[in-house]
Amino acid sequence: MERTLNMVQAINDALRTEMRRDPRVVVLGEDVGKVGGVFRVTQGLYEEFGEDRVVDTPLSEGGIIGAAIGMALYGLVPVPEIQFADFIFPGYDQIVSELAKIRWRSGGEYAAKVVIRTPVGGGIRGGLYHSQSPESLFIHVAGLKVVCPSNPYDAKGLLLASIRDPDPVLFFEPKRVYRAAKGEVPEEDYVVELGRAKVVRAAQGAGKAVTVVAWGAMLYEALAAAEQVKKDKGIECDVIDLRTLWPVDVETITESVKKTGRLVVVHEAPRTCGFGAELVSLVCERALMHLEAPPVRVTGFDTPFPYALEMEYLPLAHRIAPEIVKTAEF
Amino acid sequence: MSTAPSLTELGSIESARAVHETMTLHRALDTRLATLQREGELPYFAPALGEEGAVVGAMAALEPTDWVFATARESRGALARGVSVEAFLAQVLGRAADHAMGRQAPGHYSSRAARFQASSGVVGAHLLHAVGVGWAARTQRSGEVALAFFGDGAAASEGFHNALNFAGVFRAQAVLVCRNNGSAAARGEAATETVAERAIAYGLASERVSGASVGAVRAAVARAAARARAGDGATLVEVVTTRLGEAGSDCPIARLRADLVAAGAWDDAAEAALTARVLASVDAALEAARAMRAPDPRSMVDFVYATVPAHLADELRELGRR
Repeated sequence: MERTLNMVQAINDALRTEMRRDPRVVVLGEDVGKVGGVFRVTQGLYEEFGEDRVVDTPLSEGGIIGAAIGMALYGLVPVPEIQFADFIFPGYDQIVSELAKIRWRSGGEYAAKVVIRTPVGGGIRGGLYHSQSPESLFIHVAGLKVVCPSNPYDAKGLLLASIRDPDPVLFFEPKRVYRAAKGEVPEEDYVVELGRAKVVRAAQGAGKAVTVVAWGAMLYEALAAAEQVKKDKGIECDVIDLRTLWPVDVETITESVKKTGRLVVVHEAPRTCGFGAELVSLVCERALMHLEAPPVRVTGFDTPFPYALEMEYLPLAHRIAPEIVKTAEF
Repeated sequence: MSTAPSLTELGSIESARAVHETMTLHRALDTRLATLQREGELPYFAPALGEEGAVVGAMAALEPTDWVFATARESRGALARGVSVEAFLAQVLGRAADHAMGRQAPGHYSSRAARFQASSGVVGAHLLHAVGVGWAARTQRSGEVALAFFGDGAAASEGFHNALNFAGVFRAQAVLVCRNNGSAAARGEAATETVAERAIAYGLASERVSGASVGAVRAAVARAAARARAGDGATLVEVVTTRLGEAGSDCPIARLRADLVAAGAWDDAAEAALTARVLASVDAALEAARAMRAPDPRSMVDFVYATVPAHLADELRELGRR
């Protein structure tokens, strides 16, 4: 049966589904238990599964992730919540030096299956330390998988796939659309396979077209920009929702660029060494001779995230549309 | 003839002899590997010369199903779990036969069969892993205990403070064993006299024992493990050690040997035979490990993930092009 849920409800549904199915799954973090999480994503889980499986922890991200690694070594499947991705850095050493490397450094004898859920992104008036998008800092680290859904259906299916995947996963939840993005979500158990992007808008006809790659909350900006340039200039777009950032579905992007010859990548994170840089490289290595225009990145600025100027900082549709036009008319 | 307390604490004359043998092997191996490091065959080695009582005493207090997390300095504790010198040296020399495929620096010994896990190079980070294991063991109603070794320098790390706090809050079935050889205090890195007193602030039990008495170490860790198994929470055990040759050093091996001799359970002939056997086994194992093959370069991409992803399979093609 399908119901209309928002992202918060869909993620809660995924956690509940998996906790009922797999007794090894435990949720831990700051205020995830009795309070139900700062965004209420874990609401009701404490009441259903009890204090051994839904655990309020001390306020220390390094402690949360380090202890989760130990629980995972034991054989549990911890799903810690970090209240905001901005606060993940006290736990960054545990993720980079420990979690990402345990399987490799033990020659495959030990593994730590942990899924770290954390809200990312700006546009909620959260200011400098409640708005960042640190995905590329994790994609760069061998051993981690990185996921960022844009809608409730994918959020449930990707989270279930993430928990069942054997490797550690960073599960970034775009909090700007936590409640704004609504959609049909089956009550049943289903997975959205990791490592598969989705073409959510396909270019029509044989005219000039542009491939636009986005994820999370910026997908909606990319779609709005695609609609705008079609209306204003008759430019068609393939809009690709990456869904899994790493390992990336480079085939879907390349296949589209081979048709359109044009690439625009959109992300909230700062431009320099952002994931857009890697995506452009991957496409150039595979489809350089198909390109009709230089690939373009529309991103956050190379500054800290500004509180008062967040709508100027974010790569919203009004910044994306002119770049699509420039690329199409190059 | 009276039996020294250390022999009583080690359970029996037989187990005291076994502990003595493991410490002797530990000493011989460390002496040899420290030499190889000085001579340049090894890039790095962290000996625990003089501190064998802390390592072997703690290991002797555990059940085979208990988990051990060790830094490079306590990794010879694996010998007490039946790990062979040859297997240990396969790790030190980075050979393919190493459980961890030659991936960690010398002495970061890891073996799932031995329930023994190497720390990373980040000091103190592994203490939280032991706490997580001990926390899971409690919620799973298991009697397993997780023991983590660390040096006194690590008592300054964020991992240490997080581990103590989480261990206290979640009554983890964990034993945190500090091998305090005084080096951090000598460098002015601590404003408290002991490491053990820090446990009070986090609601943990603590004990402070001399590492010169391997029996006292075993007894303290056994009490801590029993507390953990009974659901009474984690314990910080501070073992005060001295390094071999240092002023005021008190050798745990010599001490135990004297107790065995006094009990009529050891003599010069037994000692000479043991020394010869241990040295020969280290020599033989070293030759065997030197003859082992290095890891296959193509193994580099294995176990980054559970299966090799496409991008790593692509990168593999660059191997072997020199």
